[in-house]
Amino acid sequence: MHKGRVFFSLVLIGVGIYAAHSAMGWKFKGALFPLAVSIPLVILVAIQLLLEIFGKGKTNESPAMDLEFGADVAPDVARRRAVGAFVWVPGFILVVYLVGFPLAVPIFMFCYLSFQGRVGLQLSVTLTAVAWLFFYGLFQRTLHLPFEDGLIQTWLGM
Amino acid sequence: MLGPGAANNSKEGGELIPTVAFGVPGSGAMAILLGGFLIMGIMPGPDMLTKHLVITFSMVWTLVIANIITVLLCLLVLDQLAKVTYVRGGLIIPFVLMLVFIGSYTANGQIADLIVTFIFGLFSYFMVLYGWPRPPFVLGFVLGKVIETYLFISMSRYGFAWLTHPIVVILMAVMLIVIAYPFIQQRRQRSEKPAHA
Repeated sequence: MHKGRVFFSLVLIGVGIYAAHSAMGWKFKGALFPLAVSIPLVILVAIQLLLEIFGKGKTNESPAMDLEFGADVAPDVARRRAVGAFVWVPGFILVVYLVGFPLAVPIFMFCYLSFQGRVGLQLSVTLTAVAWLFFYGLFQRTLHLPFEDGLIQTWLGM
Repeated sequence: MLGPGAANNSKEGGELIPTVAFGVPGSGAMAILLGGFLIMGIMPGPDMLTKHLVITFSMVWTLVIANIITVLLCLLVLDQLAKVTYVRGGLIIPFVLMLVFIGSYTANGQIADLIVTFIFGLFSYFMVLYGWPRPPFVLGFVLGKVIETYLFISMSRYGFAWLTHPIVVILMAVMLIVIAYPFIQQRRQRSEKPAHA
């Protein structure tokens, strides 16, 4: 029995039950599809959970349908890298919220490369410049995508 | 190298057939393509082989031309391209994150989209970690709107009686067989092993 898999299955069952419970109070048109999805989800994940707990090891030996973590990197190292990347994302979102995308991109790139990537100052500055030029040239100058100002610019009336 | 590479590329054309003709994507990549179709207002189905044949052929020719360009590029700069695989992950991750979040932000121009992207990214990470395949999840997400519409129409028109229509019964039986087949195969393999031993 794999504790992580059991926990993940329990989370999915919880999400399914919550969705079904919420949909019960809705009108027929709104509730139909959430119920049609959440009830089978709870039943199928419960079966999966029972197989996980009482089954004999891994049940799925069919060909891989999805990517898997590479075997050339130790699982602990791969997990540490993934956690490192995920920890930076909320920070990136916060910077976007505060200063907007055009400023957040170089700030995030430089900080990530310097502190997480442990890249030298010269290379960090060069790659940050390349990323910003790519962002500015493609998304702002060529595609003219609208990027809202951040909270700080709005406060300062810039 | 050439054999597996050619086989890998040739499956793309085959996967396009159910995606375009029936709206049933054959892989995760085709599910994303199907999502693109729906966003652009192109409804996959038999019409793609009659009314909108031009679009279908444009896809076919794009695949053909893309393969020719790929071969030419690989012949010219394959050695240099192979070096990309040696670039450290720490240098690529911020670029990829930037592109992912710009992509999600430009859909509606809202910070909430970035948060949703983060939550589903985290969810997908756990799916990979615990061996849950993601293409069915993408498939359900992409086809959800179409299924919801037709489920409502079926329920409004026939009630639960639509479940007893012959074509529905046949499709459900096929679905059950597809779901049960790996378990049956596994059981058969287990029972054969002691016999051989």
